[in-house]
Amino acid sequence: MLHFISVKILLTIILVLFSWKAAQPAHSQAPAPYDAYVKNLSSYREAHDLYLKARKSYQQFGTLKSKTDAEVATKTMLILRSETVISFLQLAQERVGEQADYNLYAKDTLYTEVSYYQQNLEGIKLASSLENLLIISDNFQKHYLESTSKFIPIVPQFVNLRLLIGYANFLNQQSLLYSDRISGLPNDKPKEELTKNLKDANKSLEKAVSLINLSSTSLANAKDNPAKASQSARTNLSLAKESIIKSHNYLVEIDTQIKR
Amino acid sequence: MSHLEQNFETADKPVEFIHKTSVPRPKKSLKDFLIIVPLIVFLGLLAVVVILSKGNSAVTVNRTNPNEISPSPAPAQLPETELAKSLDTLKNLNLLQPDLAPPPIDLKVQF
Repeated sequence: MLHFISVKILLTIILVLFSWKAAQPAHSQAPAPYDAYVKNLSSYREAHDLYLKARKSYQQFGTLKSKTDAEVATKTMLILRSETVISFLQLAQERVGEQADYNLYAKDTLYTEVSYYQQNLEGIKLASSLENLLIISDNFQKHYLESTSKFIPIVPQFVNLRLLIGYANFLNQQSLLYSDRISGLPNDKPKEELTKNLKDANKSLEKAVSLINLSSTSLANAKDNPAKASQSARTNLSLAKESIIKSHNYLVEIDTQIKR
Repeated sequence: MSHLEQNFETADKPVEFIHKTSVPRPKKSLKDFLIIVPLIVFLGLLAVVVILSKGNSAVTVNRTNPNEISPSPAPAQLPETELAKSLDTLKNLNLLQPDLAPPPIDLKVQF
């Protein structure tokens, strides 16, 4: 009888746990790109330490066992190195945002880069000797230096571009709303001053938009000279940010004056 | 005698009332008890699980970068505090995007 009760309770617990799992939202099962990247990087660092120890031991003793240990440690480290780079590129994909005219170059390049490292990862998993692993690692290094390392510094500018476009759109909407509010105000409010502030806000916003467009053009043509495009975009986006802050301050001032 | 006539016959007779103080209920076996109790417990827990999970899914937080704003259309009009908050976020925007610094990996692997 006791056995019968235990089985019933166990089944109930299993059912509850299963229901809990099924009721969880799907997105909580996969870690966010940033979390995945941080986790992979941490695992890679640990694996790299073990690889250094195994390599030292192999170089010191040269036994068959130390070679096997070195091979296993190298393989693990290389797998985690590829996974770290893949998760970094996936994080960049997420931050660059949805595909748009201004980020086609970044989206295409990120897709190609992720595909390369995924293939490289498959090669590492299939490698059956230390010599093969070293050949695959050399290919990784060559590709990283010739392509990835030149592309990575430009990614932040695509992210900044996306964020500043968002701000500029937001301020444009706000400016239109304040324009309506000012025209509907009673005569005792300082309409002239408010209109002047709104004009100044729009002027700063227009300047920001023009700088954003310049950055967008240089980033769209970044393929020829990524470093130059990145530098130019960063300078223009930094100025655009200042202009947006200026415009925003005018709108805050207008808001305060209306409520006064 | 037809069925209808029979009914008339009985209707003329005095009615007998049967008083019963209690109705005997069928006894529940231990086996029934063992099925019902875990079932009630399970259904109760399931209801709690569903309510809790629905509550969680209603809240979504950008865990990757809380400072990041979305380029999707902003609400038509924000309260003053939100406008100020949004400005603070913009002021704190680091154009270097430190999260996207090159991953610190060892490229040289040799024996």
